[in-house]
Amino acid sequence: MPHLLGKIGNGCIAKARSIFYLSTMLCAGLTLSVKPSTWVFPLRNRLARQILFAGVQAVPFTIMVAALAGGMVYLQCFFWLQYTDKVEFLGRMVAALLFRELAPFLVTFIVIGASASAVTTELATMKTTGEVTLLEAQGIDIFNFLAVPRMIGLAVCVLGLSCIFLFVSIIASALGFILFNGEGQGPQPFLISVFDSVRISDWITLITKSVIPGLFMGAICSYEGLKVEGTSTEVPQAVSRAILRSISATVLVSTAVMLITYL
Amino acid sequence: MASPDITAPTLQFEDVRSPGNQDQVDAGGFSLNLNPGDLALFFFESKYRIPEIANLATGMTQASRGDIQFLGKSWSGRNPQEVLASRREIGRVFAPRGGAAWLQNLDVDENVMLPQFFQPGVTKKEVQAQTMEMARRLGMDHLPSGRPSRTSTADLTRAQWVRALLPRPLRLLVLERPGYSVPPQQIEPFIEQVNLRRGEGTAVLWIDLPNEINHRSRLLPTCEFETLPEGLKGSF
Repeated sequence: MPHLLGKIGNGCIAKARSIFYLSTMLCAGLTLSVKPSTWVFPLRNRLARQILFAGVQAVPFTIMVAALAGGMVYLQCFFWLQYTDKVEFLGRMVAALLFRELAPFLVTFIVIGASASAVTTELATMKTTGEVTLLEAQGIDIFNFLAVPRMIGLAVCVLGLSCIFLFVSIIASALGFILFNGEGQGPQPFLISVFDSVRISDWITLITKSVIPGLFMGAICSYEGLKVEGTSTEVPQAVSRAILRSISATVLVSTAVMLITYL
Repeated sequence: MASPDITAPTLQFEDVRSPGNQDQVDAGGFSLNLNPGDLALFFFESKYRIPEIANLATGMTQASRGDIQFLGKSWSGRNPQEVLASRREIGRVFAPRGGAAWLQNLDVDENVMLPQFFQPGVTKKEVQAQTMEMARRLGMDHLPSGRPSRTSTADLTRAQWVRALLPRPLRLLVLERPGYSVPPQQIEPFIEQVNLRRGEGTAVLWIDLPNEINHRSRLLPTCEFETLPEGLKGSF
C-alpha cells in the first residue's frame, strides 16, 4: 500500500511539476513576445514560416471542414428547434454553437493534427543531432529562438483559422437557411439574427479559446521536443506525448473558459 | 550584467580535469593562461578528442575538477544570460564530425549570419554588409546559399571561418581543425585574418591533428600542447 501511495504521489508531483514548467514557459514566452527587442530578424522569419506552415497551408482544409460543420450545425439546430416549436431562436443558437464552441475547438484540433507532430519532431531532431547544442555554443537563447516564435505562431494560426472557420461556417449555415426554411426567403433574416445575438463575451470567448490553447500547444510541443535526450528512437514517443498533452490542454482550457462564461 | 574584466587573461584553465571518458580528451589536471593576442596550439592524435577541449573552453562542458575562467570569471559562476552573452564574444570553427556545425533547416549564409542578429543594436543590413565584407577578405566572392547538406565540405569550412570571425568584440577564437578539406593555398587569407585579430587582442585556441597542420610557421603560437597517454603536455 505505501508503495502504491508513493507511486501515486510521485506521479502527482511529476504532473504538477510539468504543469508548473509549462505555465512558466507560457508566462516567459508572453513576456518576451511583447518586447520589441525579442523580434530580431531570424525570429520574425521563423514566426512567418510558422504561420505559413501551420496556418496558411491549413486554410483549404479548414474551409472544407467549416463548410460541412456549418451546414450540419444549421440542420441540427433547425430540425430540433422546429420540433420544439422554437425556430425564432435559430440564429442565436447557431451563433452560440459556432462562436463559443465549434470554431475554436475544431480549429485547435486541425492545428494539432497539422502541426504538433511537425514542431515536436523538428525540435527533437535538432536536439538529437546536436543542433540545439550548436545554438547554445553560439550564445543563442534556445527558448527565445526555438520556442517563442512557435508558441506565438501557433496562437496566431489558431485565432486566424478560427475567424476563417467562423466566416465560412456562417455562410454555410446561411445557405442551409435558404435551402430549408421553406418560405423562399434570402439569407438576410438569418444573418441579422445571428449577428444580433453575438455579444462581446462571445468574441472574448472565441479569442480566449483560440489563443490560449495555441500558446499551450506551442509550449507543450517545444517542451516535449527539447526534452528528448539521446537517440532518435525517443522522437516518436515525444511526438505522441506532445499530441496527447496538446489535446488535453485544449479540452481543459475549453472547459475552463466555458465554465467561466456560463457561471 | 557585470562588464567583463578585460585586464584579466582571456582564458584560464586552473588544474582542470575533463569529465570525459576514455574516448574523450583527458585534460588531466592541466593549467593554461591565455592572454589577449596569445595563440595556444593543441595537437590531438585522434580527431574524436578535439571537441572536448573546445567545449571546456567555451563553458559547454563543465570540468570534473578545477576551474575554467573566461575574462576573469568562471563559467560555472555566471548566470545563463551572462553565459550566452560571453559566448557571443567567442568565434568558433566547429570540428567536422564533432557534432552539428550547421542548422539543417537554414541555408549556409543564414547560418553564418544567425548569431550576429542576436548582438544588441545591429540591423539586418549591417549584419549582411559585415558578413559579405568578411567573406571577401577571406577570398570568397559570396557565401554558399544552399542548404548545408548540399554544400561541399570545403565551402562549409570556409563559411565557418566567416562565422567565427564575425563577432564584435571578438575576445576568443576556438578553431577546431579549421583547415579541414580546404586546399593549403586557400587557408592563407584565414591565417592573415587570425593574426590580424590577435593584434587587436583576440586570444586563439587552435586545435588540430599533427599531420593536418602545414602552416605552423605562420601561426607563431604562444604555447603548444600535445596529447600523451598521461594527459596534455605543454611546451612554451
